[in-house]
Amino acid sequence: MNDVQIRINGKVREVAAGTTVSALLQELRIRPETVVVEHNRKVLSGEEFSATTVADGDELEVVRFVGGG
Amino acid sequence: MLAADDHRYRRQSLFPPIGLAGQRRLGAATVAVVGCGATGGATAQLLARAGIGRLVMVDRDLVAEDNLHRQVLFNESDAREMRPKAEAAAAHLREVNSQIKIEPAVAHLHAGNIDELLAGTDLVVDGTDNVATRFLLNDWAFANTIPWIYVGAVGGEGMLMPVAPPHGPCLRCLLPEPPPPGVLATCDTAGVVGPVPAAMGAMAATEAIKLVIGAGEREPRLRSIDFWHWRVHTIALPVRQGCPTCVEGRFEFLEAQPGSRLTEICGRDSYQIVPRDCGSLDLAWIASRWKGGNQTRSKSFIRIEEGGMRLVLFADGRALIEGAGEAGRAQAFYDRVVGA
Repeated sequence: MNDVQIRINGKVREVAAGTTVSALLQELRIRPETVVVEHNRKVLSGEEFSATTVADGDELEVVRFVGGG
Repeated sequence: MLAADDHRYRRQSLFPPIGLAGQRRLGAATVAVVGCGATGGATAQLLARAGIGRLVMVDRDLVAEDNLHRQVLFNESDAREMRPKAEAAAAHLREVNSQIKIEPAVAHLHAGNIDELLAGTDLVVDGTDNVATRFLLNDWAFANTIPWIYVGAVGGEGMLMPVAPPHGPCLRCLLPEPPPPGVLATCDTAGVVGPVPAAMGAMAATEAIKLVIGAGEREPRLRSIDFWHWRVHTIALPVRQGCPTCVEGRFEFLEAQPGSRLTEICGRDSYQIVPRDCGSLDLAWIASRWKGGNQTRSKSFIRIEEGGMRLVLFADGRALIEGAGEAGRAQAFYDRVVGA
């Protein structure tokens, strides 16, 4: 499958076309229940992670919950 | 007690959005800072300087040497004497501003004492280092329609979101359930760059001033800041469908029975035990019957050292245990001292 180029938190990354946000988080070893994900500036609900696939030029912002203080 | 046109606040009331009217509102306000460590200490200091009329400071922990790189209210003698953070912070801030009321509480905030400890507050600022207390604060804020500001800092990052009941979004729109232990990075696992929590505390103090004078954002935003790589991100967090707290008004953390709980405290090899039945212990009696290890007493706690472990026991039965290495050893030491 072809790779597409996306930006995650400003950094360019190549991923396989058709990759879902869920799969991407797994690849990045990020627990989905501890992050907010913006896909092209739109906040995704947790249920949308597995239903959303990334396309060439997409911008993702993955914001992790910060617990310390 | 507090004159808004007092010379000391002149440079602040000169800022038009605050003005003398805003300064008077600050002087009439009660703000609680829960957790007086790195973020909370910075917030409390700036709010005391800003002339908040009554400052309630809650903290369960004692000052330790490895707090000093980031916790701006404490000095080496506080760490040497292991002073309770709330008391050390209050003593420091009374020298900063003698014109305001500063009320320290050396306590672990839980469902059973939150109403009493936060009574009369107009705003709560989060200086905690754990998710459990934040979920409790979130519930309490919606049950009482009092705004609170979530603040977090770890590593080189920080996060902040004002929460303004009765409207969402709230903490549980951001994080629906408390993650299992070990999932979130803590100051123990990821470390923390000293100035980061102080910077977050300063931002929280600015938000607190805005909220008190009625200048907060109409729709509060989540702000995530990576200080190390200079990435600042603002998110218009939507209200989560079916959110138990801000949509359905179910306050399960506020209604939870406080059980005996053993928790690890962020920042060092330290455990806290909060007993189920939070009656009052006779510290003098416990001290007199203890025959092992060295012990010292202060008016609010006894400290017992044995075999490389150090236990500090408060009159409400709560204890902090250092040097145990693992939870079971900490619990066992507690049980031997208290006779549980």
